[in-house]
Amino acid sequence: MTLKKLFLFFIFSMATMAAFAQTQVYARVDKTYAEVKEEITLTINVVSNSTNIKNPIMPSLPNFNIYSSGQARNVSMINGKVSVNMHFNYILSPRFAGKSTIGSFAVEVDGQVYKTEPIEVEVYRAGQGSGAKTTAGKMPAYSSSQTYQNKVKAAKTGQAQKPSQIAPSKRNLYPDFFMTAKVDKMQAYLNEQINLKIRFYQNKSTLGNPQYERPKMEGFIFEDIKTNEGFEEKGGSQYRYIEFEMALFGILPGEATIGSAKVEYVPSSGMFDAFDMFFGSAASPQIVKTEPIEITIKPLPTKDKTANFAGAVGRDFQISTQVDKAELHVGETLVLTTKISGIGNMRAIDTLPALDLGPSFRIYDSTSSSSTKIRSGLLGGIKEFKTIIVPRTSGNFTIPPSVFQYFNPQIESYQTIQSAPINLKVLPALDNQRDALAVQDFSQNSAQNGKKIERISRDIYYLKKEETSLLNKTLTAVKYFGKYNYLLFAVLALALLINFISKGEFEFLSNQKAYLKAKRKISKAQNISAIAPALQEYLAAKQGKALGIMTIAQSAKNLKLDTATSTLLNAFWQELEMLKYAPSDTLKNTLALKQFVQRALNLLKQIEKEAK
Amino acid sequence: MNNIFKNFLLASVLAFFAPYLFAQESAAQKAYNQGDYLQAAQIYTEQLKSAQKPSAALYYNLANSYYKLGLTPRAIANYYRAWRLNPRDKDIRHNLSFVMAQNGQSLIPGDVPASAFHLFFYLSIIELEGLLWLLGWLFVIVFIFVLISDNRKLKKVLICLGVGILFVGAWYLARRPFDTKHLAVISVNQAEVRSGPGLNFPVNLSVPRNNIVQVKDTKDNWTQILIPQANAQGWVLKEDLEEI
Repeated sequence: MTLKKLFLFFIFSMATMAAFAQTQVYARVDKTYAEVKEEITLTINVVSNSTNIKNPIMPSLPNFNIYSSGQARNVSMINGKVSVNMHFNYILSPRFAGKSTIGSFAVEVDGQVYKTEPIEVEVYRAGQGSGAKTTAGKMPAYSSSQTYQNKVKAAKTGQAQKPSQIAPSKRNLYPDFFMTAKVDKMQAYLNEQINLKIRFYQNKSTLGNPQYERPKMEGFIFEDIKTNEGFEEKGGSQYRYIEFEMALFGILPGEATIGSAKVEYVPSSGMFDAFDMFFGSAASPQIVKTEPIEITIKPLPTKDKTANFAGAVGRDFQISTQVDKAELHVGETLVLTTKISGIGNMRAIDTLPALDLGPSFRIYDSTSSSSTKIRSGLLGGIKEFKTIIVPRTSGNFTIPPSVFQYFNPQIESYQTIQSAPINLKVLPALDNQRDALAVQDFSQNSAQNGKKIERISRDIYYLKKEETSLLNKTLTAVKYFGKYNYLLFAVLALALLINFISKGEFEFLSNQKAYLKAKRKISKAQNISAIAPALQEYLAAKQGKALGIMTIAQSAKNLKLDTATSTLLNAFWQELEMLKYAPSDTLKNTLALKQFVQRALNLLKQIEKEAK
Repeated sequence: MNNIFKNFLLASVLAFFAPYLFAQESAAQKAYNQGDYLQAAQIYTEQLKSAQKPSAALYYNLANSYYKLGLTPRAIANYYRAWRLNPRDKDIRHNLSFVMAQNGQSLIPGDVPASAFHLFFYLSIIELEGLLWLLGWLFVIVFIFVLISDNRKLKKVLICLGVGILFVGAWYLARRPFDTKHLAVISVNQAEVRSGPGLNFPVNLSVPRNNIVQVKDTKDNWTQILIPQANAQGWVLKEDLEEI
């Protein structure tokens, strides 16, 4: 026993050293309405991190008989912090009917005096009864996880939840250990933040540290926000609580469930708890847990959603871009950093909208990093994308603004922001880079050096100057001669007219006429004497001279007739001469005349053909 | 005679102001190079208005400016005008084919060999007409010489010219329908083609932007078009078309 006392003393001394001024002193009674001589239990509750707590100093209470009913002291350690909870109990017996006031009790903790608030008590004569007014204290509307679930169910069905009416009771309805889980909304959009607060309450000490088990999150991703500790009055008793605050983000539309959070603890049983901590205790571990909560995750609206939406949900987003250099050579690398900041789940932003810089740049996949910040319980932060860009051609370029769209659940619509454009100057490749430039092609290999020819892009050809070919100039000029072209027909008609009027002055036509004339005369010849003059006239016309002054042979020579034709002409002419002096009935035979005429026509045709 | 004098006077004036015109082109080119395509388009439009005869190069440059401005229907219309004036020009052919290909169209019909197409469209209709007149003049001149001299060689030349006139005449007649065809480019995202010239007629089909269609008729604010790609016809609002 002595060993136990020594050990307790050591523990209390250590706790005193570590204590700091976080002390609360409360007074409470089990009833504020009582009959004369009925017992009222007064409890002075001191909760402190210090163990140096002295007995309360009672005020003057002439209307009551007072009996001390002992004291209880609980020491607990949660997450390494010592907490002392002392109860000083008194039994008060009212002596007179009427209103009486229990004055302030003073408690000295660590040399500092704390006072309780006065409490008014109504005392009735025996037999009058206080009825339903014997409530010891007010019960908050939602004091346990079960009560909270009632609220959740009511919220889902659209019913307003009223505070629970607590039946009159002489004792606290809250257990010594319990847990609550609260969310700030029962419906949320995809990736919208939901705040979850899980509290573990205790008004008695435990052996060792209670073990907290986080609830299972189905359909959520989550981030821890912070852990709080504090005190809260529940059912007239002062509870110490530890709160775990988390940010949840629904990742799939539909119903998502927050499972039960659990705390496992070993309740303390008396003065020798600290000793039991080290030497073992017979007390068995206990578990408290919260009820599961179902949250409805709404899908994001499709209206106004663009290709620039990358999954961000929240508010106050900002985007900025910057490059590590504004001037570089072809083939050098450029790092484009895009920063997106705002309030929302940065992890939901997985990609940047596609960057289109045209064929003059090669763009490599982006790498991203994110950092989170918590502001007023809301998760936010910065997402940073780094994109490697390699220019392929020189020139002045502009990196277009990065357009970023996010969904703002507060106003239930999409908002679009964009960064400023960045001007870039790309100089031609340095010689060493020129060689290193990767060149690809889908058409042909260059036969000269084995490198491939790269087609980077296709575009329209450049402006052109007015350059027309001689062909175009000539033909267009003729075309644009316009109505004057119709003079052509007038000229043609005029030429024919002049020829007609001149009646054969033109050689071509006169020659033609001589042939036709001779042909006509020979064809119509009724006797042999008509053929010779026609042929003679023809030969004269062909030579442009009178036949009388030259022989047939000379005519044939002048007309450059073939030898055969010339011979034939001479023979035919001699035959004509002979027949001229022959008896008159020699060619009376019609058939013989026709044959002779035909021979004359053939000869004429042959001469016309050969005559030059 | 009076007209000839006028033409001569005009040629002299043009020659005098040639440096000014060149400067105008430079200004347009400068605007184009600086990316001020709107300014370039405005200058080229003014130059086309003041030009005595249509210029393939000006239409081409104007089309380039429109293309850079993103006004593809206008670009196609002006490339087409340039191509009609100078179908042999490779730059014009390239840009027109390029822009048409971006919209899934082709200058050369799929069932026609490219060489045959280029041969058929080697000369513009204006050049063909000019060639026909030129051959006609030559024929008359040679004919007169033949009348005078009765030269056999000239007779052969005359015959060749006659055959040439017949051939070019046939070519011209074959080409003429292609060049006199009234074409237009759809200038809105989706032009609604109705069965009649009014909103009370149902929409039979929609034709996407940049498609080249044939204009058949007009009535009030409506134009009847023929869509060879769909073998269909209908009426669209005039404002939905960029006429060529």
